[in-house]
Amino acid sequence: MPDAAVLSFASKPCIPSEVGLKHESQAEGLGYLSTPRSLVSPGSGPDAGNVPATGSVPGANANGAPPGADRLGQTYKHNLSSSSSSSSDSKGRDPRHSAQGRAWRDKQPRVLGPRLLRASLLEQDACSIADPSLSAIVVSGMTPLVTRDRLRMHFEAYGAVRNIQLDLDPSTGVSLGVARVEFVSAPDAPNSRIAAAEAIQRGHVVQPGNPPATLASDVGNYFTELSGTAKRGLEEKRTSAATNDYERDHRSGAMRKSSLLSSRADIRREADPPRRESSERSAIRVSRSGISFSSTTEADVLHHFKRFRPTGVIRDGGYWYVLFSSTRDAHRCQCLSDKQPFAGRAIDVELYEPADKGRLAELDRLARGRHRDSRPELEFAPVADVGSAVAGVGNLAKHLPRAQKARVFDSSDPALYELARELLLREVSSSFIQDIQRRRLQALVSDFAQLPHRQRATDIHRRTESAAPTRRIAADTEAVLKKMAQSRIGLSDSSATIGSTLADLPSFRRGGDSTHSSKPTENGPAQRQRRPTAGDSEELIDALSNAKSLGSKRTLARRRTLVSGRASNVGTHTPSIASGVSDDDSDDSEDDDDEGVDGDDYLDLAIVPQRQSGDQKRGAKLQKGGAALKRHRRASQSQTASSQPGTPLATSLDDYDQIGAIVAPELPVNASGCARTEGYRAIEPSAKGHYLAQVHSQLHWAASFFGGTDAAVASRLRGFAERTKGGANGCGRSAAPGDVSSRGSRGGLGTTNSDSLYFSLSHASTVSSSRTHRAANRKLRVEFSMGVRSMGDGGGGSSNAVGGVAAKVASGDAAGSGNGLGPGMGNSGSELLRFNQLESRTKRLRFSKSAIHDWGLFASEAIFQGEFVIEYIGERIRSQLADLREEQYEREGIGSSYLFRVDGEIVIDATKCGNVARFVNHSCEPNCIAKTIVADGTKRIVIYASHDIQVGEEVTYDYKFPPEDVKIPCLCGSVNCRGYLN
Amino acid sequence: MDTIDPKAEALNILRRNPLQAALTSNTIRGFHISKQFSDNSASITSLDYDPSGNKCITTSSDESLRIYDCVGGKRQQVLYSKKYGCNLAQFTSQAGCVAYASTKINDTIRYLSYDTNQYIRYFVGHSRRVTSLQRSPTAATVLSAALDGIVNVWDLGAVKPVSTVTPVGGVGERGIAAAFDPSGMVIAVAVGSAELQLYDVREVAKGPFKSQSVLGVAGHALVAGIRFVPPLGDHLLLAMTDGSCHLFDSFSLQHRASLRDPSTRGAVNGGNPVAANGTGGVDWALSQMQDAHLGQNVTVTPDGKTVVVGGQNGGISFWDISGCTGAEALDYSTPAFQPPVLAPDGVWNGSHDGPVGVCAFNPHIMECITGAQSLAIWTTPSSY
Repeated sequence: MPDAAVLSFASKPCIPSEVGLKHESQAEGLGYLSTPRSLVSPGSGPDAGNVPATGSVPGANANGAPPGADRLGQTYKHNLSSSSSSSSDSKGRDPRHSAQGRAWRDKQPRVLGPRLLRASLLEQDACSIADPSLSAIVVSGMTPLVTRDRLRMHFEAYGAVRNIQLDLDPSTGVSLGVARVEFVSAPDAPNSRIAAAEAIQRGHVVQPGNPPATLASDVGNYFTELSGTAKRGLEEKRTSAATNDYERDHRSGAMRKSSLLSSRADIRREADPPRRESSERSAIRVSRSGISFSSTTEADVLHHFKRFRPTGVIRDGGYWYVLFSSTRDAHRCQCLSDKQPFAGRAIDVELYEPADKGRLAELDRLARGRHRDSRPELEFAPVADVGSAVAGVGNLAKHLPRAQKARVFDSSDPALYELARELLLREVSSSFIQDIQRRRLQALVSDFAQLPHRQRATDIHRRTESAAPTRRIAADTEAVLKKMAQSRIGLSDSSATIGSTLADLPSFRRGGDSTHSSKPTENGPAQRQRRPTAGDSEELIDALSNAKSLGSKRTLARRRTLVSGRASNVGTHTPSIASGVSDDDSDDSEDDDDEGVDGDDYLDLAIVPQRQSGDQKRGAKLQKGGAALKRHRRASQSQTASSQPGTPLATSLDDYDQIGAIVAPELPVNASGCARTEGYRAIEPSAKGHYLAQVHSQLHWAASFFGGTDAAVASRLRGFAERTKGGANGCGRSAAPGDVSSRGSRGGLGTTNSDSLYFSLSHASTVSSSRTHRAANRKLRVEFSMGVRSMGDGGGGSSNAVGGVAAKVASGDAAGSGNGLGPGMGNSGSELLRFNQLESRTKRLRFSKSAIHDWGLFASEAIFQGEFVIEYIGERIRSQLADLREEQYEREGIGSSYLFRVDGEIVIDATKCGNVARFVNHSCEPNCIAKTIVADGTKRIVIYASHDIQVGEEVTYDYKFPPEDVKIPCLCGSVNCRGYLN
Repeated sequence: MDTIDPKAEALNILRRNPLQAALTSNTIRGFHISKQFSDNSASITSLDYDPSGNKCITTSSDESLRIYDCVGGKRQQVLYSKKYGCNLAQFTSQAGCVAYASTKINDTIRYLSYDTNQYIRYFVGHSRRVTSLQRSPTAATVLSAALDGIVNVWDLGAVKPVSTVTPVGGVGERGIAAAFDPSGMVIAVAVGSAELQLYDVREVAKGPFKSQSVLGVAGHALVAGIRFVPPLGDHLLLAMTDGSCHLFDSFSLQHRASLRDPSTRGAVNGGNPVAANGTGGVDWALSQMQDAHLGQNVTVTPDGKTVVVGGQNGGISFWDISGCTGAEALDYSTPAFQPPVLAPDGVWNGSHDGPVGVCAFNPHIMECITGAQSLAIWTTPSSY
């Protein structure tokens, strides 16, 4: 019975079913209420009459029934007993004793333990007066490697973590694998309880790869309970471990952790009091047969174990003995370095526990005698390590002499040398040759082919300059190799050959070079850290060859940045690009220590990209371009790319490839070889036009539309294209507005300026048919919209630029039709573009004196019925303003009305600005009809042909003026003339 | 036999799920104010949780009804009933609706949709101030008692009461209170300080199936409120106008215990001689009952083991009644049984600055809300 109760209690869901229960019981209650009385009338139910008390209630007398169940029976009994005595009832029965009552009662959850409620999840806000609620979870079963930071990182995903209490062994500070994580409610984080619940539900994997941790809410001092258990367990283990022999424990992986804990614990304990002298002397031993230890010196071994603070190393018999001043150190050492690689191989480390302690003492004495001189070197080792940690590959050489004694190449095995030499040679030479084949030669040849003679001369000069450092490398490399080989075997020949090879390759230096600038910072440390422990030859070779290949890759990247990003910079450093490059490098690796920088330097020098000089010169030339530098640079970039197919540069500049190919003409060459020496020099328009035309022909339809080669057209387009580009590049504010205005002022005069471009498109080029006209307009529109889009990316100022262009186009159009329109057609480019959309459909029209009234608009091409003729364009003003203006115009004596009402609110006023549509006259028998259409979200007035219109025929439509008292006579002269406009 | 320790079991559950909290004497002791709302300009007069416990609605003398989100502890909505006043708001089984008693103009019960802020129905039938209003825990009905001596059961869909009782056969000048039991089958009516009656919901007209004189239990104090002790309703708690509470067996109506807070005793004029004569009249009774907050300051925790009472001095006291409700605790059947007078087992840490008119323990969430002029949400720290 209790079991069932507990189960139901445990499985009683928290929230939803409570509600469900409610509904259910509600239904039950309704049933109860609506039950006909006859059904429960006295005598009919099972509980009718005076049924014997306990028997009547099912389950009530069951063994060990919970109080809730018991209750009913009891009260029933009680009722029975008391009914006779005092109560003044008997008008009915207690409905709770009826079948429904009992059913209801049975349904209620029976709670044996404390009743569980939902925890309150109040949010932290201004109304909160208590401290933000905390909710703690206990994480247990973690490995000792899980740190507080790790925990914090892990659990901050679930909520705001206030505090993490990671239980540590009081004596060692090693994690016990039990932690208490406190979540706190914060305004921007979920309630702490929710966070805790989430964490418990999903946060088991504290450390990937390890068995999931156990998570529980910290209820009822769970944490102290757990950590107490852990500590106790630890204590027990420690005591037992002290008595047992470690070795067996350590073999089994399960015990390893605990022994690790205990051994570390002991170190800590040891640290405080001064070392007890040799009373606890102990040792580990490493079999010499396990590895070719023949040439391994004591220093090497000592270095390997130095973190365990050995007191000495002695080689005796077939073993290396490493002595420690305490058993714990020895244990720890054994535990941590067993099966760990030493000089590339895993070694078996075992505790040496000889039967008589005298043996240890003897070893100790021996070791002390031997290592008096090797100790200092060991002391130095960490320093050297630090150095190597920050130094590049190059400084490997510097450290080698020091570390040489044992660490890296201390094998007397001739086979190893042979192997090393071969590998080294193969790797180095193959990478060199590949490099040469792949790029250097090719690039050099093309460079030489293109460079003017004079340049070549300087180039050669420079090469000789840089040859010196190269030789230095060669020498260094040689030294390195020599040291590596320890000159025991005739590696000197081979290294000499390598060295000479290197020396012979100065002109191909670029290959080996810039490699290297960022490499040390990137993957250097990892490599370096490994070096002290495992100094195998492959690694070095790898490092070197990596350096080579990496270098060649990097050269590319570097050149690219140099060309695109540092064009100006390059100019200044003409004689010593190498230094320029290394400047950059030292920026990258500022934290390098001296040695590292040294190493970098010589490699950098070795790598001086000769090609850069060519680029640089070109860059210098480009600089003369002055204002058009950017475009220029693009072009030159693409040229570079095309001259070097297959490089990423080329692929990235696909678009410009073609252009670049066309841009053949030589640019002027600076006398001094540097643009800066000549100061500012403008590019002549002819020269500019030469390449710009090409560029624009790729960019702009118009060039091809007009035949593509016309320089004048190209230069006209230049303004547009440049501004569009400016917008796209985000630096478009530049000179666009001013430019616009200045050009605008010139607009009326010249035909070659860009302002009249549109005019020439739509009017001047009368030869073009209406179809080509529309096509041209369509393309223009696309261009504009693209420009607008890129402007959107580019930034605020740019919209003005294209807006300006569009305005110019518009005004050019107007100018073409004989009326200088003022500004203010539209403030934003987009509006004008929209206008342009309709404008593109405009028929070719002209205006001249009309028979009807003053000026009129005449068709220059045949217009068919239903075709779009022209849009009525003007200022869009409110009707109130229109009324005012009408008066004003009348005062000013402008007799003609150019106000066109769109709807109740908007009137288009074409009096001061608008297009030729305003010249369309009224006719009572019109050939056109004015319609209001919605284009691009605004209402427009457009005029469509209602009949076919011949060339030269006047375009008219019905003004449809509202009737007024003051009549305006109509002069249309048609047969059915109404006589008045209104 | 292998017995399971329910407490250990509960602890296990709690450790697995921090979203649950166990109601123990420790947790009760650890309640503190987490949030406080000072929205009202006058004292809060009633508070009711919706059946899920996720929401509560308060009424206040400033004629506002405020709905709070009990989960996050945020105010959700403010409604005003400036014209009719408001008291004893009750959520109903109909979502989004609340019934409340008027305090002005007339004594009609208003049925308001707070979602749309529109009245759905007026329950007309009382001619004096309503002193008790409670929804049926299981059905779509509302129970009301008023000082006109009438206890009505209203169907939410009807304007007129579905059943009416007049327990005293006259005006309730000695106070009247009524409550549904948790099963919704029984109505308990307390009349003045004199009598406790139990009605079958379906057979109200037949009169009480059980009645018991409670005269002398609380001197001459009037009844302020009545409520069943959850979860099963085996006991009744009678709140009196002198601030004392009395525990009754809800089956035998036997007096089990008296809960008195010595510190607040006498703060309410309980032993008024006028009351003894019964000539104070309805208005006097009303003022007495209102001084005792119509029993709204008495609440029982969902496990039925603790009674929490808001005191006149702003403190919140609690009584552990598990000793009196347990079946085996006392031998009630002996005629010589004298109900013990219990002093509070403790006082909560923190207080209001005025008489606590409202005290209500959330039926599903480990929260208790009390209200004087300000509203306070009490919670426990999570470490229990």
